[in-house]
Amino acid sequence: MARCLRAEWPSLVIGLLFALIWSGARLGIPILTAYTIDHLVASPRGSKGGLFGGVVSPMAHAVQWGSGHHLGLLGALAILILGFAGVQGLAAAIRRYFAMRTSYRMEADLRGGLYNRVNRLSFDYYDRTATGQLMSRGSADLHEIQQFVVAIPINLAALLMATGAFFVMLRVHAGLAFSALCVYPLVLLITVRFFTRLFPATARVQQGLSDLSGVVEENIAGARLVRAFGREDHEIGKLQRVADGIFRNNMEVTRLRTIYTPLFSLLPSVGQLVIISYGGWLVLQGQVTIGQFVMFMQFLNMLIWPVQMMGEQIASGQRAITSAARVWNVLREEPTVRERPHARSLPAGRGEVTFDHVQFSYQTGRPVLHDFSLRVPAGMAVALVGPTGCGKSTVARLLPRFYDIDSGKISIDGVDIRDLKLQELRRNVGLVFEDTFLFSDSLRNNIAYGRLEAHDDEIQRAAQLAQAAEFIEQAPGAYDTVVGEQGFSLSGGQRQRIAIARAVLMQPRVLILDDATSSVDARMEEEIRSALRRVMEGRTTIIISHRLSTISLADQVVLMDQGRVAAIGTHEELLSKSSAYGEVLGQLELVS
Amino acid sequence: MTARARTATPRGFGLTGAIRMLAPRWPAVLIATATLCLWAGASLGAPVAIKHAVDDGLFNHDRVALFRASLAFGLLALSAYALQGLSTYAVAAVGQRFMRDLRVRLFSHLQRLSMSFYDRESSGRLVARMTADMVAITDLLNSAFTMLVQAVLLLVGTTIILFYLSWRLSLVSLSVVPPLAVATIIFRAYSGRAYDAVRDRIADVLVQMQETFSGMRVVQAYAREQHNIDRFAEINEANYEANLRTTRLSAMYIPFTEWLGGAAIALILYFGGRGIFGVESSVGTVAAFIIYLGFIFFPIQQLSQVYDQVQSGAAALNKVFGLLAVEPAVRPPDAPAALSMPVRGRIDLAHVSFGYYADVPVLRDVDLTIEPGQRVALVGATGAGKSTIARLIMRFYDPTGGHVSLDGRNLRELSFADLRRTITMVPQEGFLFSGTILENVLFGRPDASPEEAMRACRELGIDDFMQSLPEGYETTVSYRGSRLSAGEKQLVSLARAFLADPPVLILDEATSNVDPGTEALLEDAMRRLLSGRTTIVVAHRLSTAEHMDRVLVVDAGRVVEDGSHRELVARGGHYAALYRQWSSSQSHNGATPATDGTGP
Repeated sequence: MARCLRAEWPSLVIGLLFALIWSGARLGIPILTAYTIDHLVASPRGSKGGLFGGVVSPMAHAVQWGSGHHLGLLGALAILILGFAGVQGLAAAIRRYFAMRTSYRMEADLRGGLYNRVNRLSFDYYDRTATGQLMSRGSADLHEIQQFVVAIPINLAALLMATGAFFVMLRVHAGLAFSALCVYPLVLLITVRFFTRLFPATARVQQGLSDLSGVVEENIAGARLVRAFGREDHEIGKLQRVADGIFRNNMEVTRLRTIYTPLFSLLPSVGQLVIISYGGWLVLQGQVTIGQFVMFMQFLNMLIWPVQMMGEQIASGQRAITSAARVWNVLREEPTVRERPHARSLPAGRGEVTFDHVQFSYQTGRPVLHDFSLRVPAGMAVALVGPTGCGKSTVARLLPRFYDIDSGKISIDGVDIRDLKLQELRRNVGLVFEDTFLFSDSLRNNIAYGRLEAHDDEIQRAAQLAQAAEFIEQAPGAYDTVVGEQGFSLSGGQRQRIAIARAVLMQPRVLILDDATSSVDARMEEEIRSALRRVMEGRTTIIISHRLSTISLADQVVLMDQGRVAAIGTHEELLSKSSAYGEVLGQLELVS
Repeated sequence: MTARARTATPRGFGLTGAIRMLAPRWPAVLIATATLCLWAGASLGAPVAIKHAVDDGLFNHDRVALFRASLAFGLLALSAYALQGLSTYAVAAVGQRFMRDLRVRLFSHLQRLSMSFYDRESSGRLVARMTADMVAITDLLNSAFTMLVQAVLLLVGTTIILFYLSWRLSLVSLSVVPPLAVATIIFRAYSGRAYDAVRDRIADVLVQMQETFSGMRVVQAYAREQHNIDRFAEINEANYEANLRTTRLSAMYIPFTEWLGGAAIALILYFGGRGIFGVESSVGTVAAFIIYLGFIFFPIQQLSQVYDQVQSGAAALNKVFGLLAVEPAVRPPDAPAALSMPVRGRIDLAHVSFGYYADVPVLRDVDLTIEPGQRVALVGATGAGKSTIARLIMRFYDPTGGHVSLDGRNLRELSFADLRRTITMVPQEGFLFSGTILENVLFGRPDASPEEAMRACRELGIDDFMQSLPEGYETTVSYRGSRLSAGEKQLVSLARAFLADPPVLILDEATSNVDPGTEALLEDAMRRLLSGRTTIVVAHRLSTAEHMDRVLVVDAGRVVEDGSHRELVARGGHYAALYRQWSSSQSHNGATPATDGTGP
């Protein structure tokens, strides 16, 4: 944040300069008004002397002289006020513009920084951070900070003006100044208290609204069940409770407003009353002129808004600090997987994969892979089989370096993957996950996700290979159809085939299918399987599956147990020599 | 009326509806309006008191007059204080209560609407009706109403008082109003567009963040980070630019209004000063005019804000009341016929035709009888109409031709309560509501005790499973993310139906594969659930059809084959072909083929 402020220092200086000009001009108008009134009334202390007469009358004379003495003193004063108003307006605009610009710049920079950082972090970070959390860092928290930052220069300017007004009032009559302004600390205090109490109440209202969305969404999603069981009244009861909660919290907000907002008008009125009665008495005593009396009234009005602003800023300070701390926590997070300084390119090869005594754990003390060694010859397809938690999916995540291993070595075509350029490594390891993530973009862009520069016919070939071409061409906009728009939705099997096409288009040396067929039914699996068979041809493939039919695509089966290789062989070999394999398959049989 | 027809509703439609809903609360509305008016009146009086203090007290050196004016000012300030508090509370109380009622009313209305409505309407839009639109209406009722009354009263009141004080000076000082109004209108028009752009740009930013953050693993697997960062930089910059544009616009508007404020003071001083020794003007008048200036500037700027709120509030009202005007397609009869007890559970479809859209028939002249206690499987390809038959028996839709009857009574003649006690379904996805497992089972029969629910689970053979959950029956689940697997959800769903114990049960079979632990449990529970009642299973697996009393093969909206599994296999038709194909694949990889792909 400090870095950002350094970069923005010219606009800060400009902002501050114009804040000074603004407060000067703003203070000038009531002073000029006072001088004018006193000039008109010609009170005992007279128009020639009076408050700031030494400054105002030469200015007025200058204007008169400038007009060739066509103007009376009154006209000259009016012109001066017009001029001061113009300066005030311009200065206000410039000051505000720079304040806003700095705060928006900062918000944008922080958001960009946040986004970049999150993109660079490693999988362990995503494992422990929910998307919703990151979203609120990038929206609500940044907004909170922006609102706080934009108010700083505005409040500084207001503070300048208030100080100036206070000194002018002091010069006129210290007693009146103190007694009229004594309510303002109270206004400040009450504002702080109001906003401090208001925030939790409005947050509860927001929470209530999101609960309400939840109830409505659930009700719509389960509309059929609600009707099937005739439970409409029960659902209405649920909503009523939430709606009543929102009502109660809104009324709590209303109560706070009812208590506090009238005070924001009453307290300045008390100050005005002091001016009318005490100030009026002083006028009668001849200690204060009528013009000064009117000026006091104007100053008092001018200060209401800045004091409230300041109170609001103080109240929001705590929230802004909390938000800033939360954003900072993301920004200072370091990726655990990093490219080495002199990383090399992948040498020519056909994708031989070696795991050499690999040791790995997600959390220290709970090893997932122990001394895992496996060699997959180039072009070979290997299936990893084993009970849940044996570490087969972990193997798939280690090859593209989503996590770094604790000890041992993983290499592709003889090179340790930690010595490779990260981007190149990942482009050469194609992954098809269990839960296919498609972006709300066109089908074409979803397939070309890893290779944006891919040609249309390359994309079509990939789609054909993944057996996705047929249904894509039938979609309303063919390859330009946007996923999730206008009711265009894909079945699980179709999504999976898009994901396969996406992986194929990258022409990876190694293909990993992590439970790619688990979420579809048997008939769909058959379709995907024939797509896979073509895709796998001549490519090193690692298959992780619960399904016997998918496992049967592999040349070799690796039986894993507790993070180790328990047995290797073809399906038939393992069946005959390993009883553990038979057991695992026995479980799988039920699944498929 | 369909969802589409709503756009044709007239402009004032929503407002009339709102007024009709507010009418019974007229005393509260009256109090709110009255306190609001009185408050504006009290605020207007204060400058008059100041004028008298200056003219009568200070100018004439009259201490009593000064004291009187101070007293009046103090009293006005106090009453303004009290009235502001009262009106703040009164207006909000009316608005918030209205909002609560409207929410409940709209939601209750949604419960009456038929499934055909939900086929067309997206969940997001309905949620928006209940949240964003309601907030817009609250703004209209609370802040816009308050500001409107206040601004109009202040403007009118100030003008009257100013003319009463000095009509010449009024004309002079009010001459700044037209340029102010014009500038404000122009500014509003431009800034409205600029703020729309900001909303669009920030939406882009949020969408890009949401997509990237939730797809982060894919992003990294495909090494897309740099591309994303570049793209986000553009979007982020566009958002910054859009924000800056609004600032630039206000940077043009603000100096003008501030200058106009100064100009008004200059005019008042100049013309007031020239006339000060004449008849009309006095120092007090000049002071009062300067104070009243704020009473003109502020409301004009407020009114332009009100205009926006009124527009979006009225649009929201139209949308909400438009939704309230949608009639349910399937309605209960006015005078329901009594169902003879006990229900036997015979279902007849007599020459039933149906289509979700007028020109796309789904069922054509389906004629069939399901005997009490019979277990029937509906088999056929996606889109053949098997799920539709099930839905018509549930009376989620009414047939366009022919009729469906239960124990000889047309479904249209039965009350919804009778219908739903008698016919229930278990949906494919094993839907869970937010709450505990026990609450989810009790959903089937709310008057049942927890003991009865647990007994039902015991009888179904899934009590051990329920107890094995982290907190047993008290385990909380939600409809979106839940710790339960698909098969486990299905179990809860079966328990729910078993507790309801309907004479007729419709089951949409799960197509997805179930984890090994629950598969056996599920089959067992299903067998128990099905016994002793009329059951219609929308079957996706032939192994299920095999175990039913009767199989109906549906094709292109017609029942093409009807008989027991054995008979149909022997007949050598459509079903026999499917079965042959299945058993051959069965023998080589042990997989269970589905009769179709995606299900309904």
